[in-house]
Parts: sequence; C-alpha cells; structure tokens
Amino acid sequence: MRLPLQLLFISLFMLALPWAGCQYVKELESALRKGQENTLLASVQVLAQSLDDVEQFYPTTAFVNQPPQADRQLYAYQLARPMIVDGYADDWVTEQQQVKWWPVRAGSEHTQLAVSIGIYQQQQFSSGSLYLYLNIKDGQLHYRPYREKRAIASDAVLIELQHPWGTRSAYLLDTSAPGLLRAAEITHQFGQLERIERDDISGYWQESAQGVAIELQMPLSIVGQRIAVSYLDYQPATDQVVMYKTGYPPQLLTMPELHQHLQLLPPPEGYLIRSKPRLAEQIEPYANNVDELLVVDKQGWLLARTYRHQDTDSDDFEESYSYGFWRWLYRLLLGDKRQLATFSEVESRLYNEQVQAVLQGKANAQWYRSSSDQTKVAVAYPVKNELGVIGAIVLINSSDEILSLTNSAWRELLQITLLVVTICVFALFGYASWLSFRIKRLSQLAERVLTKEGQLIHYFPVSHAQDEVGDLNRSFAVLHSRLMDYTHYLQGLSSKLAHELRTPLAVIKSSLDNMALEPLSDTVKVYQSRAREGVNRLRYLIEAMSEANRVEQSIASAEPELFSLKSVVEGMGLAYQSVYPNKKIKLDITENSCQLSGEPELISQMLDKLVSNAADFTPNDKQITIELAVLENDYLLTVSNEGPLLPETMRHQLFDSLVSVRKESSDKQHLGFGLYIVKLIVDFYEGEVSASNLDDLSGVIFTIILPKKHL
Amino acid sequence: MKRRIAVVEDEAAIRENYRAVLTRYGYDVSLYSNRPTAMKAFREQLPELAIIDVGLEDEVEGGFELCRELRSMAPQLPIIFLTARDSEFDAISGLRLGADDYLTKDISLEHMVARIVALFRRVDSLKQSQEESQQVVEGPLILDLDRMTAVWKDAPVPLTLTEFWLVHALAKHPGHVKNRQQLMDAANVVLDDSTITSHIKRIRKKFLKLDPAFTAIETIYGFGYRWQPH
Repeated sequence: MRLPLQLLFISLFMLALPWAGCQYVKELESALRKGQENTLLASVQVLAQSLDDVEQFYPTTAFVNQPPQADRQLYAYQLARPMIVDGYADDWVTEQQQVKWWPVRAGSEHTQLAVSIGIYQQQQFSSGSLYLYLNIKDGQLHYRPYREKRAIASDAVLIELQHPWGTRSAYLLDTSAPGLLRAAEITHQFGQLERIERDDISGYWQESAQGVAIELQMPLSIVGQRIAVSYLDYQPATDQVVMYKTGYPPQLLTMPELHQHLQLLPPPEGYLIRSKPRLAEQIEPYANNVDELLVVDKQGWLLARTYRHQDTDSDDFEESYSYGFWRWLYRLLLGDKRQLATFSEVESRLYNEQVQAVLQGKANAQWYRSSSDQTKVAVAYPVKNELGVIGAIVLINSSDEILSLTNSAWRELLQITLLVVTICVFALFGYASWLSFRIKRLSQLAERVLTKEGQLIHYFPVSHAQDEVGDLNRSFAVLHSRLMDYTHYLQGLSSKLAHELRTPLAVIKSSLDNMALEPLSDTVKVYQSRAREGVNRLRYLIEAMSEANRVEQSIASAEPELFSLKSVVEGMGLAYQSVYPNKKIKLDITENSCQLSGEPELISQMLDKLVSNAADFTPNDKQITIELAVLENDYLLTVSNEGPLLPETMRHQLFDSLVSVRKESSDKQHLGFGLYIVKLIVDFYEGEVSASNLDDLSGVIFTIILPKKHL
Repeated sequence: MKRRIAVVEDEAAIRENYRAVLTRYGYDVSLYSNRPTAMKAFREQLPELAIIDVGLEDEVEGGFELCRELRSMAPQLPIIFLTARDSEFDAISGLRLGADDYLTKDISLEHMVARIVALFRRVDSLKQSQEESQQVVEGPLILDLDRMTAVWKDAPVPLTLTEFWLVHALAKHPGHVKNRQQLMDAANVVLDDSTITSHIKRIRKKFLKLDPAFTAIETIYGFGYRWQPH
C-alpha cells in the first residue's frame, strides 16, 4: 500500500473522536434525564402528600379495602355537550376526537354488548344527564308483542342502579318497534312484577346491521354511585333469558329466576366512576410545569387530568423539526437502541406495568415513546394515607428540553469534529503525499546514480532538510561520493601502477643496455635477449595501462577544430586494409562530408580500438564493416564484424576499464582498456556507444552515435 | 677534455647505470640524488649538460625547481628531463621551463646517448656559428643539421631535439607520407601513437605562432603525416 493511503487509513482512527463525543453526549443525555426524573419525582411527591383525602378518591372507605373487580366498574366520560338521543353514534364520534373511548364489553360469541357512558354537566353542582350508548350485536331481535301483559317478554336492556339516597331501582328498556322508547321501572307487588313507565328516562332504539344501537339519557340526579348495565336476550322458545351483564359471564335465567333477581335487586357491584372535578382543581396549579398530570385510583381509573396550556411556539416546532436529521444520525451512530414502550393514551383507565408498580407503593419513572415519536418521561408516585396506597399521581413530561439541549450539543460536536477530522485527514494526506514525493524523488535519484552504461553520475544533489529523509539523502550523497572516489581510484589505478612500474623497468632496461656493451658469452647473450624480450613486453603492458590516462589528458587539453568525419573514417578504413590483410574490410560511408567539431585524432584513436577489437574476434577472410551514416541530429558510426557473439552477462560492463571478454589465447596483451577508451572518447563527443549482436546472429555490432551539435 | 655531465636522479640503480654507460662513452659523470646537493655542486661548478629526473626523493616536482634555478644560472646549458612521468602536462611544464628535451625513462641507453651527442653538437655549432653548415631547405623552411635549428620565413623556430628530428624527417621528402613508426625511428625515440600526435601538434603550434597561415604539415588519417611541397 502506498504511503498516502496508509496514512489515510490510519487517519480513519480519528473518527473515534466524534464517536467519543457521541458517548459524551449520550452520557450527558442520560444525566439530564436522570436529573429530570428526579426533579419531577420531587415535585410529584409534594403533590401526592397533599392529596391524602380518601373521599376525593373513593365513594367509600370500603372501596379502598375491597374494591370490586375492575371490569365491573363503569367509567363515565365527561362530555363537552349534550348528546342527541337518536340511536346514532355521530355525536359520540365527535367526542371521540378528544377522548379515546374505552367501552365496557360483555357477551358471548353470538351476542355482544358494548357500553359507553358519558356525563354532561354544565357546572359542578348543576343538574346534568347521564348518557349511555349501547351497541348490541344480536342476530335475532325480539320485540315486545303488542298488548303483552308479562313484564318481560322481549329483548331488553336492564339498568340497575343505586340512587343517591340509597334505594335501588331497575329500569327495563324494551320496545315493540324501533324508535323512541321509554324506560319502565320494574317494581314488584304481591309477587308480581310491575312496569311503571318513567318519563325522565328516554331512549332510542335504532336497528343496525349487526343488531341494535340504543342511546339513552337519564337525569344525573337519580344516579348514585353504583350501576350495572345488562342486555337481556329473550329466548321465546323456552321463555328464558340470557343475561349479558358488563363484567360478568353470560347467564341463562328462567323467568322465575329473573323475577327473583328483580325482586331481591341486590346493589350492583360495580361503581360508576367519573372524574373528580375537585381533584382536578387541586392539581391544576401544578400542571403548568408539565405536559400532563394524571390522578388514578387504585384500579388505575382516571380521576383527574390536566394539561399544560398549549402555547406552542412555531419556532420551537421548526427547530425540533430540523433537529430530526441530527437526531436520526445520533440514533444511527450511537445505536440508541432503547426500546421504549409506546405510551398509549388511555382516557379512562391507566393500568400499565408502571401504574401497577406504583400502586404497590413504589414511586418510579419510565420513559416512553409517544405515537408522534416524542420521547416522554412518566413519573408515578403513590398517594398514601393511613389506609395505605389509595391511588397514584402520574406526571408525564416530554423530554423536548433535554432533546434540544443534547441535540444542539450533539450537532455542534458533530460539526466541529467533522470539520477537525476533515482538516486533519487532508493535512495528513497532504503531508504523506509530500513525504512520499520526497522519498520517491530520492529513490529516483538513487536509481539514477548508475547510468544505463553502469557509469556513476557526477553530481548527487544534497538535501538540506533536517529530517530523516534529508539524512537518508545525505547518506546517499556520502555513499555516492565514496563510490565516486573509489571509482576514480580504480580508474586511475592502472596509470598510477604504470607510473610506479616505469622506474624499476628503467633500472632493468638500463642494466640490460649496459650489459650489452660488455663482452658476453653466447649463452649469456641468449638470456640477455630473452630478458630484453620480457622487458619489451612489460613496457607494452605499461604503455597500455597508462594509455587510458593519456587519452583522458588529451581530452582535457583538447582544442576542438572543425574537421570532416567522413575523411577521417575513410582514411582510417583504407589504412586498416593494409594493417589487417587477413580480414575483409568493407566501408559503407555516406557522401556527406560530416562536419564535426572536435579532435580528429580522438576519432581515429577510437576507430583504432574498435577495429582492432573487431579484428581480434573476426576469423580470417571474414568481413569487418565500417559504416558512417547521417541521421537527423546525429552521425551514426558502426563497426560490425562476423564472428562469435557477445556473452550476455558482460554486455553492460563491456565498456568498463579492465574488463575483457577475450580468451587468453590471443597473442597480444589485452587489459580491457580498448573499449574503455572508446567510451571515454564517445563521452567527450557527448555521444552514445552500445554493443549488441547482429540481428542474424552472425556477429557483433558496435554502434556509436555522435551528435552534430558541435557544429 | 672530457665533457662533464651531471645526472640528478634519486634511484641509485638507474644513476649508476647511466654513469656506467656515459663513462663508457667518454663523459665525465657526476651523480646527485637530490636537489640541494645538486644545487650546491652546481654553484661551485656548472656541468656542460644536465640530465634531471622530475621527482627527486621527497620533492615531487624537485626536478622542475632545479631546472628553473639552473636555467637562471646558465641560460645556454643543455638540460634533458628524464622521467618516469609520461603525462602530456609534465612534458609541457618541463619544456616551458627551458629544458631542451623531455625523455621517458624507458628510452634505451643508446638513444639517450644519441640525444646527448646531438645536444652537444648543437651547443658546439652555436658557438661557431660562422661556419658553413649542412642545411635542408624546403621553401621557407631552413633546417640547420649541425646546429639543430629551424628557421621558417627567416624566423627561428624554437624546436626541441625530438621536434627538430620529426620536422626534419617530414621536410626531407616533401609530399611523402611518413607513418608514425618512420617518424619514431627518425627521432630516435620510442613513443606511442598519441605522443607522436601531440609532438606534431606542438610543432604545428610553434609554426603557427610565427605564421598563422602555416599548413605545411598535413595529417593523412590512418597513415601518418606529410610535408606539403611548397
């Protein structure tokens, strides 16, 4: 992986920064929540202690100790306006937009009864009405036959209630035909049931698709604390009645049994539960600080309820709306996986786990998610008196404040850290790119230290950077200069050696010369001539060793002149024919005079070396070709010969000094300076030299390109 | 009277060998191994010819220094540099200091003696300049074989012995191409090709200095050189 990518990858760890911030915000939020819970608990506690009057909760003290089954209670809603008694539920539905109806149900599979009860009362102590809406599902309706003498001979609704003054009454509502109906109070005289028509209780019988809907109205003044509603499904075949009473299982009664029940008329078990205006008044002052304040009794029935006065600020709304995205991101990133219970807005009875727990006497707080996806906290506190827990206060507040607080913190945090991370990532990436650029440049430099021909470059740029890359560069530079020195030493070694050898050679030579002047025996003369031969060979060797050095010197002191490359090559080529009579020398030279600026002697010296090299490898009677051509910007000079091919391994070192690919069988001395001298001269002309095998592998070709630019 | 030759050379074996050969040829030879002793002796009595090595014991260029001092003492004294150094630069430095010839140590003793003889002859003929001498005349070039001097268009050309013999070999047969081996033989030296080339170059320069239009020495690439017949 490339360096910038590596650093980019590493910089991804900086994303831990916003994550940590998120954790902090999360902590903050939970602390704020805790704080809110505590505050709410404290205020609800004060409220709870002020509400210890059992009278305000329950009709009797007995209720507190032994309340009847909850589903036998009937809850009366507070209606905003009087209902029109017509058997249609339209006006109830209108009310329904404000409250969620929770009808009491009873029945079997075939026949069902649903009862909704509402109270309309203009002022607290004024007279009001109790409205009942009964929705009955009954496949077979039985109407009261005309002129029927018996008290009960049809499907009917039976309402048992206890009056405020203590006595009990049973009202029967039946009819011969759909329409307006009147209630009959059932009394018993002399063992017989009597029907007394009542004017104050009116109703309407409206047939529906499933059965019948009955709506009825009665004055509140006759309604006491206890009430029971049942539907009597008359069975004409057997003259029996199935009684569907709210809170009870269906009961099959014979007429005598029903009569007996109506005669005895035990007080209804269930209470009529209605909201308590006085309680509402009491909690009203506290409602300003919270969204919703509820008082429930021991069974969770709603006794009082107040709302905060809605002063919805449109700005707040917009803000919370725009927070939606951040909120969503927050949940996404932090995994706010809390599965909050959905808060069901029950209007009549609140009996969820939290309320059940608080009715056990344990104050608690619980978080909910409302249907509009708002988080809400509900704090419940038990109301106690000497009897024990008599009810509970539930305080519901939305966590909007906390939300907006944490949201803004979260949003700012996220924005800042994102900005910082982005800047850091870019900075790191840029830095890494720069670093990698420097290293790349250094590595390119290091690659360039040796040219294609295996020569060291002359200058290695030194970095002034004070860091490790700079150090590396300097180390390379030092390495390069040492290598340079060593190469120079090696290059100069032969000439130095030649110089050092010259003196002892002179000693031997002068001694031999002196010896020649002495009278010598014939045997000694033989040895002397052998010694002379040896000395001469040694001298040639030394000459060869210092030749390269001399070429360098003559290059250094060269005074360029304009000359014709063609005439030099042509003249040399013709001369070689006599020098190498055993080889065929072929010249292929352009007509152009090939003007070149430089030292013609160097060209001839170079040709000497190339041709002598070629001649050494060319078998007798084979051909050596010297070619001169003009290219666009250069002159092309090639010397090719038929013969053995170049060994692949030596190709690049061919032009170095002291490198020779010759076999030792050659009669002349070769130290591998020839091609090195060629290279020196070509360098002087700023040209290029290369050696390769001929395409048809018949021999070797040396190619020299000399730029014309000296003109 | 024997001619006195001073050999300043730090290598004892060579020194002694030179003494042996020069004594055999009838010269009086005095040997010095370094510059101070040589100078001390020269101040007392000048030799008639000095053969000086460039590197003298711990003085790398002591020979050059000695040459300069000696030349200031005796402007006419023939001086030959004999050295293991064969670089172009050293040769030029030596000749600039007024040496009459510059030889490498691998020259054979016979050749060296021939040089010495030739130098003495030049000195002698300069002293008796009025005498008729053997001359080669080729156009504006006059070579005096006794004095070993060259004149181009009436101006003397300051050639060293080696150079003189090279010019002589070329000018004796104008129009003939002389290859390097022939030139070497003529100059009584064993030189490699590039040294011949640099000698020719130096000769050309000396002529060009006197006559910028000088083109008499022609290079025949691959063969050698030719004196353009006038």
